[in-house]
Amino acid sequence: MSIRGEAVALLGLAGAGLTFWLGMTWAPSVSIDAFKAPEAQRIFYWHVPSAWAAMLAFGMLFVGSIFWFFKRSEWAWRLHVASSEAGLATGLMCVWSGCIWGAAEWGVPWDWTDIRLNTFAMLTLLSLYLVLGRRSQPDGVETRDTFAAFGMYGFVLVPFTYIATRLWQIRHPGPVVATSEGSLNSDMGTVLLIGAISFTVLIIGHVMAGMRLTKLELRLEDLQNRYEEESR
Amino acid sequence: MSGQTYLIAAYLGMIGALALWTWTVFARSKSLESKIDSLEKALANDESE
Amino acid sequence: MGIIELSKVTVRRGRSQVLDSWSVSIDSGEVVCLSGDNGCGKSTVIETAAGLVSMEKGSSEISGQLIRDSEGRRGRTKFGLCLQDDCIMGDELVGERILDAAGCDFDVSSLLKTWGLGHRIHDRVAMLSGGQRRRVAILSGLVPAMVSSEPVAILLDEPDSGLDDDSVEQLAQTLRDLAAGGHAILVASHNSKIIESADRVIQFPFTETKGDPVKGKFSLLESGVLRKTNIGHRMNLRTLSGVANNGIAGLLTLGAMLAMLNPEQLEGRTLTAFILAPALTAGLCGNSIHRLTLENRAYAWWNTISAIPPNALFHSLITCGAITVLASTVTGDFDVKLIAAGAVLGACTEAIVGLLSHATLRLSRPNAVMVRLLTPILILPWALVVDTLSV
Repeated sequence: MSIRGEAVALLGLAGAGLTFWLGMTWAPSVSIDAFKAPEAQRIFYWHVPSAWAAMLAFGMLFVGSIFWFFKRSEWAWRLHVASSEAGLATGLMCVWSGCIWGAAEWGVPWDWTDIRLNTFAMLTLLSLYLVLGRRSQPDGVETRDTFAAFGMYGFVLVPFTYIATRLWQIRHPGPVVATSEGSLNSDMGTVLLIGAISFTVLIIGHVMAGMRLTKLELRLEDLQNRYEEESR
Repeated sequence: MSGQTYLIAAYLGMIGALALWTWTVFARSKSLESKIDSLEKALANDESE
Repeated sequence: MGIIELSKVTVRRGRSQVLDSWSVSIDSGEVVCLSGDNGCGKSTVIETAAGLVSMEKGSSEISGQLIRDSEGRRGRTKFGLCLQDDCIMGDELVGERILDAAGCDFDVSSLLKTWGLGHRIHDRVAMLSGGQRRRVAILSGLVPAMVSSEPVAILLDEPDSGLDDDSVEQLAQTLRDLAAGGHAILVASHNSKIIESADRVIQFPFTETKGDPVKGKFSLLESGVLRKTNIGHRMNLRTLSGVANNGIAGLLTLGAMLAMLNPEQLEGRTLTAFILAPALTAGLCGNSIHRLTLENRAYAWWNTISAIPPNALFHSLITCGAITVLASTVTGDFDVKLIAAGAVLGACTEAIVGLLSHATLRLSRPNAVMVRLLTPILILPWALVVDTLSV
């Protein structure tokens, strides 16, 4: 029996719910000396996992785009479609929560000179462009090639965004995990880890479900063509 | 605005986005499956005729 | 090896495979006619040969030069092309278009007279009737061979559509005359007169019959100096589309900012941003010539002439520079560095937005995609320039 993506996504949602609950009730508060808006700091527990999930989605978008463009893999096209939608949703979550947290903590929701913020937002806009653009066109090799090309070139921004906080720490905080300079409280780290795992499961489930949807759409189109031919 | 207000606004938006995204996946799946079923039935009827 | 050589090309369009390992070779002095039902793939053959369509397998060569292959390699050489769409911008002039197609100066008025267009030599193509416009498009496809003593390839897709009987006869005779001059012609058509003018008729996809056409007589048109097209800048001067599309946006931005801010009170980063914002807005409006090339799929024909899409970037430098000068003047902060930065930033932004729009031209509905969604990234370099240049 194959595992349905929807079931995996629901599992991820449950994990995200657990993360939320732990973040609000169990994770320690932060010091008022370190943060201007200590209550708002709890946005962190979904903001960071959604950024991580978005990066995963953009990575899958890249893989799908490459394999469609060079290998004409149908599976890869379905991955492109599903991961662009996943990247859009999680990217918007991250940008939304980030703007609000920025307003609370920095006094401004955005910083045009911060490379990481802007390249991440650009990736989110790219996925919006891909989702809307694809829906405006009939399916075909021209549509797929065009949007796969955008998906491939847009991905250049991903490693750039990752490196940006190591090279240009301007306003957005640098990495606090997986570095020797990180200083995250262990309980916070635990909740964050649960969040990261949950969002990973969530994004995988959604991408699986999305790929199945594209397969269904293609099947529907084939049936419609067959029906029209047999009606003649 | 207090920190808590920011917190609520942030999570409401994120929960809303997740909910909308998940709902669209389930709704599209249901709609596609029902369209496919009715077309397959129609094709099967044509073939049996 | 033929002048026109399609080798085992496999092409998909939309969701269907139109050509499957299809080959054709057309030698010097041959006219080959593709005939077949609508939608069978004749246009795809012409566009594939011209390098306008990507292929899954195979290659297209013209006059020994690789035009395109399945690996994505591309090249250019001189050949004549007339597609089903006329591929002419409405603001091009009749005589100018024929000269651009020829790539050199020659007595275009005599040629136009023989095709009943002599009195229209200085008119814009948009003013012509459908039949007259079609004749201009056909001549654009034929003239590279008319001015060349070396064999030239000519690709014509349904050239007879929209023509009256006399014009079709004239076209058929011209094809025979050009073949007599050693040129190679591939034409897709249903018309019996065009089919009769062919040495070979391919009933698409595979049935081939030999024709027995009347021999023609080639008469070379004397050509002069080579001609640079600069079509983008010419069109911009003629239509002022750069001013309308980009300049106005920059001016409106300046106007809106003046309504909200007192420029005398600005300083530092805010002042620099004020001065450079109009140029950014002008650039974000994109390549004004691109919109013109969407008319009748003109971009497809110009794509075979040059890899760089028609543009007026030099004019953009001037427009964005002028807007920055204006913004500097109202603030009283006249800095040459800022003006140069505004000019370059605006032109570069316009070029990038133009390239993004150009990348969507393969789509069925290129106007339906919102390329503007990708343009916010261009605020980033602008912000970095503002930061760098502000005191």
